[in-house]
Parts: sequence; C-alpha cells; structure tokens
Amino acid sequence: MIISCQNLDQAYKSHRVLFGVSFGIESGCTGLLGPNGAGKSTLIKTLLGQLPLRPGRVQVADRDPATEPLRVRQSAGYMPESDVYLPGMNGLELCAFCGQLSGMRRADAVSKAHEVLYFVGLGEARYREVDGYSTGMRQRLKLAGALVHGPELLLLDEPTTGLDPAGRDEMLQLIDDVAHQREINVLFSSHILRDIEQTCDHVVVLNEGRVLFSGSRDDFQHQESRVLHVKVKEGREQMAAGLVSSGFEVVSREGTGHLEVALSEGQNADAIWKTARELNLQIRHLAPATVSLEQAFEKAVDGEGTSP
Amino acid sequence: MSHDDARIYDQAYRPFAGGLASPRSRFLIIAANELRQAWKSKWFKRIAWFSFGPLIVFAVLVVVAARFDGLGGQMEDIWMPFWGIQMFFAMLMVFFIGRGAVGEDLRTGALIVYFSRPVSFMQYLTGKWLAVGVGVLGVTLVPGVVLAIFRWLAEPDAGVLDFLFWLGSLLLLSGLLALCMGWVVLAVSALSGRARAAGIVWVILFFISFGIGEGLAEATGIYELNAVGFSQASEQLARSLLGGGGTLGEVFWFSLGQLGWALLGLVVVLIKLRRWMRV
Repeated sequence: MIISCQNLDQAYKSHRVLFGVSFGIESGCTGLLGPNGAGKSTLIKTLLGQLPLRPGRVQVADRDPATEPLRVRQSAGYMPESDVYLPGMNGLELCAFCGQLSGMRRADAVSKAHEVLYFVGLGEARYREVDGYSTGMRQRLKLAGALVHGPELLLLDEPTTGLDPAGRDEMLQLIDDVAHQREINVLFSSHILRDIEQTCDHVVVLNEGRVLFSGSRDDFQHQESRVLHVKVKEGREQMAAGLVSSGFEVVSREGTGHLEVALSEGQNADAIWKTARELNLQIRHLAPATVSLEQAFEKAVDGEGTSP
Repeated sequence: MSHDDARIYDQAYRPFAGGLASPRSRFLIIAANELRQAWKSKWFKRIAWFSFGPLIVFAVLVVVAARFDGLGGQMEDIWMPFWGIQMFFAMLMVFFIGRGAVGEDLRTGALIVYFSRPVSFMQYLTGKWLAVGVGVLGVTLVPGVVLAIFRWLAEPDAGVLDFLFWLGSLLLLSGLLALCMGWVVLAVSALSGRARAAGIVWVILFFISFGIGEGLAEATGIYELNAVGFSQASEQLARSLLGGGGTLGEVFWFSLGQLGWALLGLVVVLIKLRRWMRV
C-alpha cells in the first residue's frame, strides 16, 4: 500500500479540516476527489509532513511523515496548486535545482532535467527564464520539477488549474502517461470530475473533511448505482411484468433491449434470477448500470454515498 | 482516452533510478544556488574581482614599507584603511546576494519549492545565510589572510605569534561581519518583499549604522556606544584588534554590538517565516 491513513485529524488552529480520515491507496493512479474546501490540499500537505502531527496514523511509501518528513519528501514528488517559481532562473536551472534539493548529484540533476523537460513538452523553452512562462508552461514545469528525481509517488494538487481546454487535455495525457507508462504512483487531487474520470483507476472521495468513499473508480460508480441492466433472450415484456410483480421498479429502455431495474432497500439480484427461473426465461446479461462519475459523486456528496 | 493516445511526447524519459543523497547537506545546495544566481550579474562579477584590487595595492605598500626602514612605523595603519575598503565591498556583495534571498521566495511562493522537498526549515535558513556569509568572507577574510601572509613574509620583525594574532583577528572580524550582515540583509529582504527595495534599504542601513554609533558615542562621550551601529562596530573592532591599543572591553562591546544586530535580524526572519518553522 503506497499511502495509508487511519483516523487522521487535521486542523488550522481551532478550525478542524479533516475528521478521522481513513483510507488506503494501492499503487496506480488515484484521484482525490472533492469540492473546494473539502480538505484535499490539507490532506496532501499532511502526507508530505508539512503540517504538525495530530491524532491519527499516516504511512507514505512505508514511512511516517510525522517522524520522517524529509524521507517522505525524498520519495515523493509534489506539484502544488499555486503558481510557484524561483525568479531569475530558467526552466532547466529550476528543474535541475529541484532534483538537487531532492538529493540528486548536480550532473545527474542537469541531465535528468533536460530529459524530463522534453517529456513535458518544454524542451524548446528550457533555456527561457521562468518569469516569462505562460500558465500552461509553468504547470508543466511544476510537473517536471516533481518528476525529475524519479519519485515513487507523485502528489498532484489540482494540476489542471488555470489551463485552457487544450492545455488541460495535454496535462491529463501527461499524467496518464506517467501513471500508466512510467509506473509512478500518482495521487491526483481535483474537483473536476472529468479529469479524474480520464486518468484515475482509484478514487478517494472527500467532503467536508470526511472520506465518503475509497476504492476503485469502477466500484465507486457501481456502488453508487442501484440500477441493474437485465437482458433476457426472449420474453422481455413478460420478464418486466414478472419483476414488477416481484416488487421491482422496472424501466424499459427502448433500442438496447435492456430492462433497467431499480433496486430498493433490501433487494438484490438474487430475486431477479429467481423471477427469471419462475418464468422460465433465460437471462443473457445482468450487470450494474454504470453511472457517470459525476452522478456518483453528486450522490455521495449529497449524503447518499457509501461509507468506505 | 487510450494510453497510446498519450504518446505524443519524447519517449526517452525514464524515471531516475540512481541513488539520492542524505537530506542533511541541502543547505550547501541552497547556498551554492544563491551564489550561482548572483554570479549571473555582471556587476557582481566586477565587484568580486575589484575587491581584490586593494589587496594588490596594500601588498605593494607592505613590500615597499619593509624595504624602507623609515616607513616601518606606518605598518600598523595599513589594516584600518584595508578593512574599511573591504567592508564596503562586503556591503556590495551582500547587496547582490542577499537582497532577494528571502523576500523573493515569499513573494513568488518559492518556499513551497523548498519545503515540498527534503529540506528542513533550519537547512533553508542556513543555506540562505551561508551564501551571504561566503560572499562576505570572500572579500574580507580571503584578501585579509593573503595580506597577513604578505606582511609576515615581508616584515623582518614579524614572528609567528604576530601572524597568528592577525589571523585570529581577521577570523573574528570577518566571522562577526558575515554573521551580522547576513542576518540583517535577510531580515531586510524578508520585510521588503522585493529585491530592489530591499537592496536600497540595505545600502541606506549600512551607511546609517556608521552614523548612529558614531553620533551616539560623540553625543554621550561613551566610546563603547560606537557598537550600536553594526558597520561602525565592525570598524571600531578592527581598530581595537589590528590598529593596536584596543582593550578587551572594547573588543567585547563591539563584538556584542554586531551579535545583537545578527540576533535582531534572525528574530525578524523567524517572525516573517514563522508558519514554515515546523516544516
């Protein structure tokens, strides 16, 4: 497990931000999803050991940020949300300096900085002063700075902030590439559902400092769905009538041949199989209807979501 | 989006798999970077080279004085003008290295660049101060030691003890000046926020600190009050140590004056950066 949190609390003076946060993140790309003010940035800062120890237990890459913050930061790369740069430096210098700060020898840092700047698409601009970079270029530079030392874990705090649609797509492609081609574990914080949907395999949903869900993205979307798609070989209308008489709410979907069956509290798929057996009908397809991440997220945040 | 769609970039990049150094020596990297950035300025380079000019002039004077017995009595006076000039160069070096050291980091949010990496608060502060300190020592201690060696070799009456005394005095003078100038300029930088404003304030403060100490000492008749201004304190300390005739009390007060300024600067920096202290 690359990140593990147990009963983590966090506060700024008397203002509590995180309330007993518990979740675990396996390797891969994980989306930290939540509306503004949910506590995403605070959680990331806590993972980096930038905030003081509070009740709870945290492990990042098998290290405790409370006792070994420098070791944690050495094994992680962090891309902050805000616009940060060292004035007077060019892209290559800044990226190499980031590598050196993370523990690389200068020669290695410079060599890797060239490589990673080409990777993020700043190869031609690497000798230009950072002060003159556009927002999109600075976002890429921040990603390069977080990647240069080959971290085990990449923490990205709202990486698409301030980008135009094309820039956003390119940033998402880069993140997807880093997570799936370079096999670097990524924790990607965002309030933009589409970004998470495009890149992440797992999600942690945070709202008002509490974890509403933690697990695979598919599970999240399916768990939020209380609707099943049912397809029978023949006798679709007969099956629909049977299900209604068994207490299910059925919505026929024209064109696809599926029946949409809404499950109410206490109902499960077993009763559907039973109905089909009684009617002597053959079920060809039975699966949870996939809702969009947005729908699932809205449900979770509205208080209808599942607990981790 | 499939993964293949993402392959629009240079595929040569592979995550770094080499070893990473222990986080204990990051202050050296920060200091080296500060000096590297200052070195980009052509004026900084010129001042760095010019700062060795007085050394050449005074070395020639030492040799000439040693050749002519009649000038032997003037040897003690060589240190005072030498120190005064080198202090001026130190002020200029500090201007270039330290004026934006903390303030620009605060303004541009660069502190996150440091503290999201294995850099502790103490390493950050040490690195920033060290860069300024190296600049000060580079234009005071280094030429001072070279001049001391010249004088020791040129002056027939100078013994090893004399040389060691000059060396010790130069170490104390330069060390205190580096400590004091370093923390004061970092404080000015942290308060000003912008490098240009901090630079102007720093230069004004340097000259005012001459006047404050001198003025107070003259007004009250208490010689030790020269310690109130850090630049005046350093000059008076040089007079006490290298000019000959200084008392231990004077050395104590002039050292304390500079240490007080250093402490004041450090406290200001800590207050300005207090939210990062726990990092």
